[in-house]
Amino acid sequence: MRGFLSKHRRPSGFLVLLVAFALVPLWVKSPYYIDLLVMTMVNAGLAMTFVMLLRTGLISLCVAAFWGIGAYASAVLSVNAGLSFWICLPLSTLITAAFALVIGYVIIRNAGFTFIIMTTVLALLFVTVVGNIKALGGYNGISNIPAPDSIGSIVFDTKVDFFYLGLVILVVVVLIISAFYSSWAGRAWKAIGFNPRLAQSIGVNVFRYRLLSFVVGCAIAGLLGSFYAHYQTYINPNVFNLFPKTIFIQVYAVLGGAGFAILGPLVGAGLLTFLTETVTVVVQDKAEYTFMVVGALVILVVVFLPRGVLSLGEYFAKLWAWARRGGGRDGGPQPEQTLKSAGAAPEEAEGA
Amino acid sequence: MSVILQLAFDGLTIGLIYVILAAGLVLILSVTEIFFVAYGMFFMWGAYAAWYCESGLGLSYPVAVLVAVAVTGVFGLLSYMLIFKRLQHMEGRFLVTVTGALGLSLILEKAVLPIFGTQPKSIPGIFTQAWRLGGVHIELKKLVLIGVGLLVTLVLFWIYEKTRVGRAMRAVSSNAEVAALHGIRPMWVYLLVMGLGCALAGLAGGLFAPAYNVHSGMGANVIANVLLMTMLGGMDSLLGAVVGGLVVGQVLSFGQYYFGQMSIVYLFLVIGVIIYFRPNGLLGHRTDLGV
Amino acid sequence: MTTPAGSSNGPLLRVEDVSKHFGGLVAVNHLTFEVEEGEILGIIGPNGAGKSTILGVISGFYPATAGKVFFEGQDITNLKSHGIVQLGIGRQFQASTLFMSLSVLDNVYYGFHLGYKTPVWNRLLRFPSALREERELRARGAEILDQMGLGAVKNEITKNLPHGHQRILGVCIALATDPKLLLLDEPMTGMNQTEIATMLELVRGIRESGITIVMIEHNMSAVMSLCDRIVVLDHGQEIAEGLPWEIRENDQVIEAYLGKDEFLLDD
Repeated sequence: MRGFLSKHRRPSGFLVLLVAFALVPLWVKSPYYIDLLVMTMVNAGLAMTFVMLLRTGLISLCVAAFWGIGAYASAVLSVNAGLSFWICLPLSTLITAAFALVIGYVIIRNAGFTFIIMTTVLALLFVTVVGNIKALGGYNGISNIPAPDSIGSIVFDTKVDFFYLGLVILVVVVLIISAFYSSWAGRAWKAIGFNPRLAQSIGVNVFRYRLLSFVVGCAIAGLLGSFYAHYQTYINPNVFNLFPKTIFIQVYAVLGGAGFAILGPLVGAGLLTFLTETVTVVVQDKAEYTFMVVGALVILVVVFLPRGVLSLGEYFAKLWAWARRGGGRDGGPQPEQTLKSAGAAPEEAEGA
Repeated sequence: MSVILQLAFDGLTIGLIYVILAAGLVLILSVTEIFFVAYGMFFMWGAYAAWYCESGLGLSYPVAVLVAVAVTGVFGLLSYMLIFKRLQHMEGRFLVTVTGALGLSLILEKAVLPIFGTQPKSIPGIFTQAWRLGGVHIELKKLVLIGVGLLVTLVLFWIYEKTRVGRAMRAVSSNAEVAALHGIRPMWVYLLVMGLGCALAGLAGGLFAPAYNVHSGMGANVIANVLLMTMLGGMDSLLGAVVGGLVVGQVLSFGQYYFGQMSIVYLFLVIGVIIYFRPNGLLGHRTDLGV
Repeated sequence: MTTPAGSSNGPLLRVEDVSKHFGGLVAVNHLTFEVEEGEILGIIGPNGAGKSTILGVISGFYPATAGKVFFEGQDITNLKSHGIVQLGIGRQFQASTLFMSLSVLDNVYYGFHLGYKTPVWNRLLRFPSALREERELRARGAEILDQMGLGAVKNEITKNLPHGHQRILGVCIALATDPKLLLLDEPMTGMNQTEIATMLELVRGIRESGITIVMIEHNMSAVMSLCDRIVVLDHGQEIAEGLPWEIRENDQVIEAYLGKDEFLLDD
């Protein structure tokens, strides 16, 4: 099974983490903390879809809007059409993907500022549109969204049940995302992110692969939205707004480290979710102070740790390797080393 | 008929606010290449600063607007010097500058609540004269706004097109490295543009305050509209900002009347179609902005 | 020869009356030339003559303003660059455009983009076919690197490579797309004499393996010794075409280069 999560990390480590995480509810009984963990998983999943598009060189500020489309699709299907959660979940994923396909087809032709502006405006418009549609409950939203039907003896009536459901969904999401990353599609995305012109010259259809990443990412956001709607039982358009939801999604990714496609969002979401709660306690429930502290934190991170908290790990790993070798050589290949090995090639390069 | 004239007049008023805002944002986007989402918050801070100077400190309104301009301009300078100067040349600068701007807007948006309170503000008693002209209700404060807006736009064009400073801005906008070879220090131009752009947002806020309500959500509300008009006009064209601002002002004024809140959605769809066929906007040139 | 459709013994590439304008600037002006299968065609000319532009038009990076480009008799004028690569025109870039943070082998491996057949799901479920394909492509990548003399540095990070090696790697990536026609954009710029000699050998080797080559180069001695035929551009127009010795003695060419040492030097 080696390499199925990310080629840099052994899955055994991931499995240990996964099992440890799955055992948390045995010790933590407080529904409040379980709720935070469930939201961490949802947020991490959303941040992963953000990173997915970022890989292709696009910054999308409308992740939350597609999350909302999934949530609303699922809510309407279950409340108005009376469908079971287990049907709503795949259906709302497909509906979100369809929206993403149409919207992406128009907006992905322009990279850079135009794309990011389009997505910013889309995110803000989502709230306006949904808020003005009476059938979707307007700004009051939709309430009484039913919990998932029981499967056999598993009944979804406590937060712990949702914790495990969310965990299963998150694992599936991680598997899907890593499948894409380890395939030619993921390599094409990365190639586009590195250099769109070079990617074209090796035959990558830049538009189509960006669209693929947009649709897959949005579909996953829709899947998480469906889960979220049935977990919260109540949704309203402002939950899915640009300020602050999408900002937070992006911050999870950058805080953890945007270069780490899976682990970065997990670490970032975990850190920030619990940090926000701590700050809220410290500032005694004044939400505006919490946001200000988070904003300041975001700025500090991008200024001093632009590659995220996990880049600290790389730094320490290098330091550790250096120390183990007795401090003789640096962790990375040094220029002279490169030259020496290059010299073995037929052409002599010393003169360059 | 009088309804249409009234809507056109109101559209012109709000349109000129947008022109000032869009001009400032276009300068920042095209010269510094920072996706400055926090821009709307500077507009809000300008409005709050003008309100505070007028109502809290008892200054006269024109002085209050000048203070608002100064405050937001200094904010802009500080935000560049403390944050964006470092982020601008980092690896993956697009992502880090956007993230930094988002963090900044989070701080600026929420900071007004504990400082100024949650109640919406207004500046009553400024230029209260009003006339009815052919069924159109014309308020002096809106006329003042239109006059100042036109004046500022003209001055801005003069600076951008005719002065040495403007030439430096255009040079850095088209290619910072070449500009540096010609003896222009890009850093100073960035600093200037951030200060000027944010000051323009503050000015728009100060002008906005007596005619409309001041509240903490206005920064987020306005940024979508301003982004739309920079796309419509072209992200590197000052003239595009003017055209975009005036058009969007009119469209929103009429749209609000006939379609209600959904008008901005229709506007977005129309602009989406335009961008699909003209990726650089109506008057823009560069396709590579921010790539 | 207006429609050389499907003719197997026609030229491999035919550029027919192509013009390219950038705004008001005419970069290429009514240019016509042909490339025969198996030859090395050199395109030379002073700076700003439109050499890079014509490569950009052939490889689909710039749409032509007027005129047509035929590859193996097929009209490729309006195809996008990724479609043109698929047909068999590989391209190496002027600047060292590489995946700098990847290893050398990975650069070539990424270049096999068109070679992948296995769907995403097979890779997730780790079907043997998917893994085998990856192994095969990696082996082929290593093979290309060996042939091009980069075998020893295949695990280095690309940005640590010396400039000459980076240029060669650019050619390797283009080779990974399995081209019939290879476009080289100043492959020897910034190289020293030893590196240039190596590059000459490599380019000859590529031609031996049956790949036709069109190259732009400033280094005149290299062009003269390497190319079978040379097209000279000036101000976007063809001013001469012929064998190397013909070009060397062409008055118009000498005039176009007048005062520019690069042509008169070397030999």
